[in-house]
Amino acid sequence: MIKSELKLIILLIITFLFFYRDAFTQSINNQYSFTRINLDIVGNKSTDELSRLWDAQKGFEGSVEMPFYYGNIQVGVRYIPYKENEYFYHDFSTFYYFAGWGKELNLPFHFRWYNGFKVGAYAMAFHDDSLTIYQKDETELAAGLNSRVSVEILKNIFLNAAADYTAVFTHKRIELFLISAGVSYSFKTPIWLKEFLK
Amino acid sequence: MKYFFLFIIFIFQFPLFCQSNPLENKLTQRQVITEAMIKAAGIQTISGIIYLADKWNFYSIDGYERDLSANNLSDFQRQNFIVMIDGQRIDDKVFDVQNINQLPIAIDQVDYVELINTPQIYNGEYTENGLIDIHTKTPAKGLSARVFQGVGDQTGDPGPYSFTQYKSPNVDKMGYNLAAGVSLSTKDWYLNAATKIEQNFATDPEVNNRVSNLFPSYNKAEMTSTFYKLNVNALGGNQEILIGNTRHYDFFFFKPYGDEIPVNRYFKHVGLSGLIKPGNNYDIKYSAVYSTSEIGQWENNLNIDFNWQEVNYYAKLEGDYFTRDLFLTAGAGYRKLTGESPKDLFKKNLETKNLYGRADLKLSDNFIQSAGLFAVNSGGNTAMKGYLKNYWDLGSSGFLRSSYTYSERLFQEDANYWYWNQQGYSFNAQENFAPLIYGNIGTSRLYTADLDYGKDFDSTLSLSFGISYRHFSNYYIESQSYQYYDNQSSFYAPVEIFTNSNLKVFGGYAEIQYRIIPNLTQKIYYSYQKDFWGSPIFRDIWAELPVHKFSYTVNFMPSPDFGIWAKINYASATTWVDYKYAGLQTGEQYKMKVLPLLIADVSVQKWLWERRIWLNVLFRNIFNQSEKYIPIGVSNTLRFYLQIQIHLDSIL
Repeated sequence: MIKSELKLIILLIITFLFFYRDAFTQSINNQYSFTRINLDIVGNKSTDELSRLWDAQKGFEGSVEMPFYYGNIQVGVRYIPYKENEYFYHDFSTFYYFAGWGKELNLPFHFRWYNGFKVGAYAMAFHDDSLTIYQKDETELAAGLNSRVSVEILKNIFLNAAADYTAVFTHKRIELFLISAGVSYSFKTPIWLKEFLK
Repeated sequence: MKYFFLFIIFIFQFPLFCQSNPLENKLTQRQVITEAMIKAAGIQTISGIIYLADKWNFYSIDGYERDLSANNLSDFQRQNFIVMIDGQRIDDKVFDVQNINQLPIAIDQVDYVELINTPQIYNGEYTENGLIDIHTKTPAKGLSARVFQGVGDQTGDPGPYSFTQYKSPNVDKMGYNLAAGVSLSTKDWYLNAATKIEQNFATDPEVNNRVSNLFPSYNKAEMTSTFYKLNVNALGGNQEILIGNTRHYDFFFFKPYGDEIPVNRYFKHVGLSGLIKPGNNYDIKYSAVYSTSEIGQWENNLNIDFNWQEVNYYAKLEGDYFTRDLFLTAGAGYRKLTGESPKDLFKKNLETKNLYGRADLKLSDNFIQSAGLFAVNSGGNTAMKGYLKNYWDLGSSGFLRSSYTYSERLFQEDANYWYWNQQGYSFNAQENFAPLIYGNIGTSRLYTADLDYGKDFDSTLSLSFGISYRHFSNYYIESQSYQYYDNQSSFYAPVEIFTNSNLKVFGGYAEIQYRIIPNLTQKIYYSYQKDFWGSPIFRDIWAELPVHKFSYTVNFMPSPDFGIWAKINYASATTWVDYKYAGLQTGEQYKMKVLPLLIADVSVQKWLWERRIWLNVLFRNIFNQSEKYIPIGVSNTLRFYLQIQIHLDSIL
């Protein structure tokens, strides 16, 4: 039986190989040439045990994206609060600090399609005064895949719709299926930032 | 003693000594691990470097400290490999237990590491159990500063399920590492000052249950170190002063006791070494070291206190004469080790003297030969060690290298707990830790033979393989059939020592390195070793070493500032006979047989700000297998490590 980690790794490898065909055709001189800032509202569509025991609220995700080798690199943070429901477990907030990489393809009518993966630290803060300082926070590894369709509505301004799968490697796995919508703004990367990144 | 001083006088009257020996580079069976390799693999601690040592085996109980065995030169019971920093011997061990993380340097100070894999004379030491020489970086001119921070986290925390029916133990952080340093450098001298903090957490249930028995309040082991190095280019060579100290609040696994004991360890080192070059064909190497290694009390339920200190004085003088085709070495060393337990009014000295000589000869354009003789005297007993090494350059067909060695070793050279116990020292645990010794512990003998072949087909493909033979004779082997005490989660067994134990081992390895494209290299390594004759107890202990090891490493550096590294490691199952009853007594929680390891790691590195900032993320054990090395050790699963290094060179 293939473990879930192995399945995820295979998916990541397939994602990489899919874009690897033109990997060496794209000039790396293009690196960091533009910066794109993404802001999205995130909704939870998970059906796992976590979503049964807590009610996930609307969340937010902000990220910065720029060309990096054969695709785009992303760094960002996603915030989703969880509220108690009929099970009365105390509330907690999650902050997912991630880095990701993917490839964006141009589609007709100014549409673009980005597919990639994210890896990061999934921090959880539990809101209960009865907890000790050591029990109030926890951080765990998380990784997943994401897909985004965007359209340029004004010069350098995009509307986005995305789907995201994130696995959090807790003892009992958390598997999140998320959808999001938002806007992006793209601009030429300042020279000082390019120099810093090299 | 008089012979020692006569030899010193003889050395000073004879034209002497040399610096780097070009012939030695070809004759020595060693592995060099560079800073680039360490960075690619995302390693954060000094002992983590052993992950990259192909011919060394290790096991770890807590996932942080590692016990080592070099190239089948010893089992895990004796930890007598030699450790050096910049060629200066560092004795941070207490008894014969070494934790190289206690060396007062951090990972970002390492330039490269030399691992000597067969017995030979190296910097005035005889490397019968292997040697690790860590070379620190030479700082950039002017004032420079650096900072290193790293953290590791194991997956498998309970997360929000901690408050539900799905609750599970918290596995917490793997470690936290912080280091900083400044350096000042001119054309003729430089000064390094550095400090480091390392924390490790006993959160894995298999360790935490035992630790909690003696130490219920806290689970964090913490170490702080400082290090200073002054290097002066004078008298034709480098003269170096190394000063370092380490304070380590540690959960010290002490095998005779069977469990971890909270201890307060303190190590300090002051050493002077260097090279003087009086003539074009002569040089003199010297070294003088004072160090202390203490193991004291850290509060614990049973008030266990080793109350032990080892004070070490060490001096070495060596002379070399060399020409293009000849390298001659003669040297002498003296060591005084004082073992002291103030509470018990115990204080005894152990003196060791050694004399050695070595000749490397280029007998023809394609043949180099080296022979060395090393004599150790202690307490009226003398042990002789020697070797013969050959190197044939086969031109376009590659090279062939051989090594034949014979090493005697005195019981005093081990200076372990059993030695001091026989002198009258015993720590204060209630159990009786006087071993039952069958026979007399005498001088042990080790015969080794190694034959290597290597060939570079072109600039992209190289191949090497070799075979080895080991014959251990008259060794002493510890045996403990641990019993498990469920109410304390602890192990205990009286110690039996079997003398006159023998073993013969055959081994072999093969390595292929292939560069697919200019920035993508890969390496395949396989090794095999198996005992085929010997005393039953020795053969049982040798089963702690894996028979088969395989690794595949790939390193992709599309540009100098970005790289991806991956490694798959396989090691066959091991058997730990001391825990033969543990499986039955613990409901198979601690089984004698440790399953094969299949570990895959991925590391990504990125330089920023024109190589001033370096970032790394390492995913270790990405297939989330149980990574366990010893029955009572942690079972590490998928974990990730982050680190940042900042190098501000020549800021003034």
